Amino acid sequence: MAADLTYIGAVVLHAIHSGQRYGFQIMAAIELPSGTVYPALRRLEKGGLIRSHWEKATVARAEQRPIRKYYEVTAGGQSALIEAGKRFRFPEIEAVPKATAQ
Amino acid sequence: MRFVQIPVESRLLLWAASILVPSASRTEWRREWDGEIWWWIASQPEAARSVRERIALAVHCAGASADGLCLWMGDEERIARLRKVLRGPRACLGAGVCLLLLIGVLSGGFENTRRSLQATFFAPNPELAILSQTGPFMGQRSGVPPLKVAYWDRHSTSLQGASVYVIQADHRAAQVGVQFFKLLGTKPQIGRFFRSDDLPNSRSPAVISYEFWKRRLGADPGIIGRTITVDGQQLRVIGVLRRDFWFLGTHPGVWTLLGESSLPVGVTGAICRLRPGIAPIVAEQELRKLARQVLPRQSGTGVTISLLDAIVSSPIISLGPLWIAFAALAFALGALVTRAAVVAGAFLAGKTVFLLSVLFLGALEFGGVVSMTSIGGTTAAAGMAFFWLAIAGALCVRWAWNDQRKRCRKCLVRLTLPVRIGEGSRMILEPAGTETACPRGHGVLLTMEKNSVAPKDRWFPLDATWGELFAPVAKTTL
Repeated sequence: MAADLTYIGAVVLHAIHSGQRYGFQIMAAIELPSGTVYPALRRLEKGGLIRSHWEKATVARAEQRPIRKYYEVTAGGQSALIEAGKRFRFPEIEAVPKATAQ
Repeated sequence: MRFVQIPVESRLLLWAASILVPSASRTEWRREWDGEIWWWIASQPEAARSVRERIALAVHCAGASADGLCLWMGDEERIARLRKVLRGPRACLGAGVCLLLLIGVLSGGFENTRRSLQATFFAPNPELAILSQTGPFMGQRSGVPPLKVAYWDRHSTSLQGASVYVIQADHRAAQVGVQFFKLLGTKPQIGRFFRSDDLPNSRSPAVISYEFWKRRLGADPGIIGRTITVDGQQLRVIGVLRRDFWFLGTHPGVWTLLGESSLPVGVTGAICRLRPGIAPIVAEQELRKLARQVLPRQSGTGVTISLLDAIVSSPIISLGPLWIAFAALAFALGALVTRAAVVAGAFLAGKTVFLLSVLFLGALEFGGVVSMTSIGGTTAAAGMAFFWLAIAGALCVRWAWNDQRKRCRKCLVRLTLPVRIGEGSRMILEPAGTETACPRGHGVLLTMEKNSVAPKDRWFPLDATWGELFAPVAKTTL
């Protein structure tokens, strides 16, 4: 999968690694449309480079918003990102501190 | 949780995209997208309120279809099922029928074809003809100058009358001679047609089409005698054409009078009505003689008279046998024929004829084939139209043949599982090519490289012992 990683896939992976954790946040960070970001997320997840999980409903309820699906980079994704970094130049994305990413 | 109102177009787009998502993951997919849209609206105060923001949100939701498609493509079973359907011969004919329906919808129910049929079979005009001038180069046809038409109209003994017409390139307006509508034998819906005392320049008299009257003037019954402005020109309406008026597939909204000495701008032609019992060839000889006597210096004294019924009916009549042939071949395909070669032949012929018929119908509806063949002045345009039609027809035939080559000789399903064999550098001892197999296990096709010495296509039927290899794999639970 790492060798097949496209530029878009690599940028999305880079954004997740930088702390952008749900679809809308990733989209806003890398300024790509939903029709590009979500298919890339599906391909990365299918390739095992990222994994997803739903946040706890109590957290969402406390913040009065719908629950989010969070994405995170797997170990395979980390190494793929390092490999991709040798081939591509990523846009600058402001890293999100872990505490606020939740 | 703060409640947000999702605009109806965005909801519709999401719903349409959700159809693509496999049912097992649809609920979760929808939950994620609903959350995303909530964030989109909640984070932008103007979202879903102004038109611009609604469009931006709709574009965002349109991205859901790409996401849904991605998930749908990931569903291997569904793709396999779709591929199976698409490989079958029914999909080929189904696509043709869909194309036919599309043409029907876009052309308002085959309007040109229907009107041509109506004009040909329900209101025949055996004496009405198109006049065109024959040029010196390979009988090339062109329009006839208005002066010459007026001269023939006055002096010919074989014609009841002749009238010139000029149709604008965009088909929105036309200019005609005084006798034009009288020669066509049509009657006005309201008002009258042109008279010899109508002058083309002072408050130009105009006859308008039924559609123009209905759509632009609200079917006003008191329109006769009023002045309307079209493209900056003031026109006095003297009559409205009938709803069923049809002239060579053209639909000008406004018909004005053309003076004998006017310089025509547009597609020029002329119509004439022969006297009863006069053959077109006799009239042609007389018109040539008149033209040589009076206008000896003008080039193009050759004249051709083509009967309107023959012009209009020729595409329709030629289409009829094609349809009958297709129906017969389709019947042969689907009916009691069991011999593979006959079925394959019927399928190929049916497919080719059907494609050509659809192409022709499309040209008849959108390409103005009828008007192009008959209006003298558009020889160059007609030539180009027929050139492209011929190219498209040749491509259809080629596609049909290539498609047939790639199908199973027994069940007509598209062959699959391509395997490269041989080596490109050894053309004689080990010819290179591609081997494809029928997914039902009926046989294998070996397609050799173009520069190979071996025959291009070789079909190897497989017997029942190969069946196990092509049988669907049973689902097992581990």
